[in-house]
Parts: sequence; C-alpha cells; structure tokens
Amino acid sequence: MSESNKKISLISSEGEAFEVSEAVAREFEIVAHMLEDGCSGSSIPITTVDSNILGKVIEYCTKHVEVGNVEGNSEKAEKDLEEFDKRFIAVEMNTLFSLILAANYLNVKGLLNIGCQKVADTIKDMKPEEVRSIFNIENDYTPAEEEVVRKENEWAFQP
Amino acid sequence: MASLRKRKRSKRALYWIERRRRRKRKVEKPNIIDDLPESLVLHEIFSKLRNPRDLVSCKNASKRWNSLISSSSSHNNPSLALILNTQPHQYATNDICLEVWKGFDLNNYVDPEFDPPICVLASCKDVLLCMKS
Repeated sequence: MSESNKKISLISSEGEAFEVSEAVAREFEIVAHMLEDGCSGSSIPITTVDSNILGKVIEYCTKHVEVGNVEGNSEKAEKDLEEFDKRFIAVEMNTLFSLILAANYLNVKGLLNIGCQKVADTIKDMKPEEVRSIFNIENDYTPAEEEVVRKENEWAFQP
Repeated sequence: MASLRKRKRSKRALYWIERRRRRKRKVEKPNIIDDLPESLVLHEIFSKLRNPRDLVSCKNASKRWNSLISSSSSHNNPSLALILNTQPHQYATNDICLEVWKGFDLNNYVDPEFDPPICVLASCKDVLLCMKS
C-alpha cells in the first residue's frame, strides 16, 4: 500500500481512535520515528493527548499535508495556509497551552511555532499586571520585592 | 511610631488576604501556562519576545518568571546591546535608526557580529538600549 493510502489509527488518552493517512501521521515527528523504526503497528497510542486536542492537531496536520500536495500557485496556497494558521490558533488560552504541550510532545514543529508565537504576541506591550491577569499567574512577590524589581527595570515602564 | 507600625501591619495583612483570595481564584480558574516545561516557556515563548520591555513585563509578573528569564541565555542575546554615547549633545530618542544618526560611528561601539540596522529601544541620558531591527 502506498504511503498516501495507508491508514494509521492514532489513539487518544480516552481511547478514541482517529484514522489518518500515513502522510498526516508522519507530520507527528514522534510517530514518523516510530514508523521508520518499525516499532509500531497500524494503531499508535498517544496517551498524553486527549481527544479534543488530538483532533485539533490532526486537523492542523491534515491541512498542511493537503496544501503541501497542491501543485502550482504555491504563493496563493501559502497565503491560504497562513490564514488557516491564524484562524486555527485563535483559541482560548487553555486550549492554546494544551495545543503547545501536544505539539511539543508529538514534535509538530509548525504548530509549536505558531502556538508559542501566539502566546508571545499576547504578551506584547502588556503591563505586568495584565500579563498576570491574562495568564492567571499568581503574584508571588511581596510588595517590597515587587518594588525592588520594578525599580531595577524602571526604564521599561517609562512612556 | 506606633501608628506607623500599625499601618505597616495592616498593609501586610491586606497583602496576605489578597494573596489568599488570588489563590482561591486560581483554583477556580486554572491556567496551565505554569505546567509548560521550563525549556518550552524559555526557548519557545520568551525567545519570541523581540522587545526587551516585554521581557521586563514578564520578569515583573512573578518570581518564577523572573528567575526563568534571569537564568536564561536570552540575557546574552547578541541582538541586544547597551551603548554608551561618548559624544556629547547627541542624545537618542526612541526609534531612531543609528545608521542615520549623524556623526555616530556605529562600528566604534558595537561588536562586529552585531550588524546594522539597529534600532534604539530605550534611552536614558547618554546610554542607549539597542536591538537589531
């Protein structure tokens, strides 16, 4: 069976099976290595990723494989893919972090990159209070410690 | 004196009450950014912050983030430079491109690996914080 026809089942942490083409499965570097080493059958358990997130990662990889297979007009395809990435990553924070964790574990570099870029873009131009609020980070500084750190970096808060 | 001590005590008490309240809120609204591995936060997220002001905001957000950023190699990022201008009367303003900064010979101030164009991110009197643009 050719690579494009061969189907692989990816099993989420809840035991749900997602059947994908081998080309899509190979977008997960961890799976690609397993397939190359011949240490897996047609079912591969992805025990650390739940169904919701695994479904999303598969959606991302499927789109990227599809666009990669399109011949001609690559500029338009790339633009479409950029648009897709933008829409794909416009999710709420916890989903975004789950996607980053999954992309890191599965070694899907493109997804990891756009996920981390999205977090970095969110931090851009924010004040410390806003960073804490949006990421729900506990301020573990005492007022005195906070004052010291703020003084050290006062230049950054000047208009 | 006694009232000053009292005020300090009540300020500290308020701080702990607020901290407990925040912790409670955190339980109600979990956020997994602190569950991300340090290497991921550091190398993949913090390294994408191009403006040092954003890194400073993160350092001020929490002790953990402060120690992550302070202990990281991003401090030695070659795309950042602190430049002391020894030529008087040529103070910088933000967003000035040094290439067009009249009379300023960039090569005398920066590492050869630090290629122009370079933008001024911040200035204080005769010190510039610059970054590759």
